Amino acid sequence: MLMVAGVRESLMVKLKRRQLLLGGIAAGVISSTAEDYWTRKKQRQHETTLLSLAEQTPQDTDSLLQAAFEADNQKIYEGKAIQAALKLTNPTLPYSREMSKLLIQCSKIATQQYLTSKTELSYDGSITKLPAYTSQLDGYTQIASFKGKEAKVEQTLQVEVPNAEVTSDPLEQDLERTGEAIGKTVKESLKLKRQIPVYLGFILSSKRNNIIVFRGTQTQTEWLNNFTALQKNYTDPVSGRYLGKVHRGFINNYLEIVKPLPRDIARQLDPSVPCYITGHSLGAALATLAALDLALNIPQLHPQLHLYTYASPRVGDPTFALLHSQTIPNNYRVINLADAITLMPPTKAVGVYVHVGQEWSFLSQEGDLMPNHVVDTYRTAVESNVETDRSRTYPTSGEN
Amino acid sequence: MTPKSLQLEREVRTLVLDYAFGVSILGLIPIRGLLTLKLLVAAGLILKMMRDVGAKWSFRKGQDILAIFGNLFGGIGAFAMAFMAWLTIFSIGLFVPYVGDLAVAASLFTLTWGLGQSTSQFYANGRRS
Repeated sequence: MLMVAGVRESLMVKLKRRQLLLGGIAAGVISSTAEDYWTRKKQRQHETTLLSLAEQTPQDTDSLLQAAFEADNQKIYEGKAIQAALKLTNPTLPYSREMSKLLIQCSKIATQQYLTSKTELSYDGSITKLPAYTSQLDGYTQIASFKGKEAKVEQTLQVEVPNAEVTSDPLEQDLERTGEAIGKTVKESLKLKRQIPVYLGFILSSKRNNIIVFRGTQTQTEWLNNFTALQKNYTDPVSGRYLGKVHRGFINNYLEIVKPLPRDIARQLDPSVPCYITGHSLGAALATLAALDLALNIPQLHPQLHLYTYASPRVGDPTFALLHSQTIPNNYRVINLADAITLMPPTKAVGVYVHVGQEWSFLSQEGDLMPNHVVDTYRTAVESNVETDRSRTYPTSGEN
Repeated sequence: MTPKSLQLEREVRTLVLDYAFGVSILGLIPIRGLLTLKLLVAAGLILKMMRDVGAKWSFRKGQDILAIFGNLFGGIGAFAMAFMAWLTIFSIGLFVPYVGDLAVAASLFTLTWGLGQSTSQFYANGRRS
């Protein structure tokens, strides 16, 4: 009897404690919900007050609108203003159409050299075997080819997922569906990356002049399409001097050239004859970086440097552009007015980007991004002598 | 399992549940800026619960390696479950008004319950004196 009474008493204590705790939880839920309710209510009241205040405030709509339009205009033409404010050094020598024709041909050859090295592993980098090579270059000797550190080639591996018979068990069906989903994901993600050496340009030497060519790409323009093109502080690797900010992708590409380094091979060139540096597209950006590198590190070659770029994107910021134009005044930038790549990266995006070089333009509208950009379009225009440095008035019908 | 053990387990479960209710009340106190204090109090209560659970099992000793690791991972799991409970209630609260207010309470409840069960399991695996 006593034991039963003890158990009953203990149960009563437990029940009371549990009831107290549950009551506490109920009180907590009610109080926190009430507090949340009051907070929300106060917030709504505050918003209503602010809204009514805003509606009551007398506003000069005309001047506000005017200010909005002006701010909009300023933003749109900000890039143009930055470019206009930049006083670049003018070339000391006239643009050479004859050399330009040869250099755009070299750019085409560099593209073919790069593509050949990507597909033909035993390729030695010789340009004489390439389709774009002509007898015009017979007087030149290919003294070196720039080899790249690596090229990432992705290959997708096919993964077979066994096809099981349809089952009536719903759990088994779910399991199989999960398996299929995993299989598909694995198929998409299982990619092999292999590294192969590639050629990134070449150097030609002759008694009349020397030519340094950097490769461009015909299709891989994704590096340009990135509006958030990050900049990197560019310092001369030899002297450590600050040269401004440049596009991270371009400088990384330039630093990929490992064998031989452009400045090492350029030291062997005859400094008494002109040295032309050229490239198309990405090659143009590499040529721009190389020209400054050579000018700063090989003083004897500096007066002979001429830079001809084709379809060049913007490479660096105003500090870089100013230094570049002072160092390499004989810099000519040939562009197709219908080539969108030459407008990349935008002047004002993540950083500030400006062009370098005297602009020589032509218009060849092929109806799409890549046809307007490819080296053949530039080659045809240069061969036809249609590029010009005269300023144009827009809008124009585009007719001759 | 003996009836005595069963009875002991039932008592421990009741004890842990009561502590879980008590600790979760802390998460329902609608005063802002007191979370650290609430968590400190919760930690104190949980430690006391673990001691009480141990006392229920007479602080049995001689646990094997499995029991030690079970207790260790049980403790980590309790924290993980507590985080998931918070995340779940918080996420529901993004769509259902007022539900989010219960997130901390749910998390503390789960943590206390998980740690209590793990501790009980640890002592249950000890040798009887």
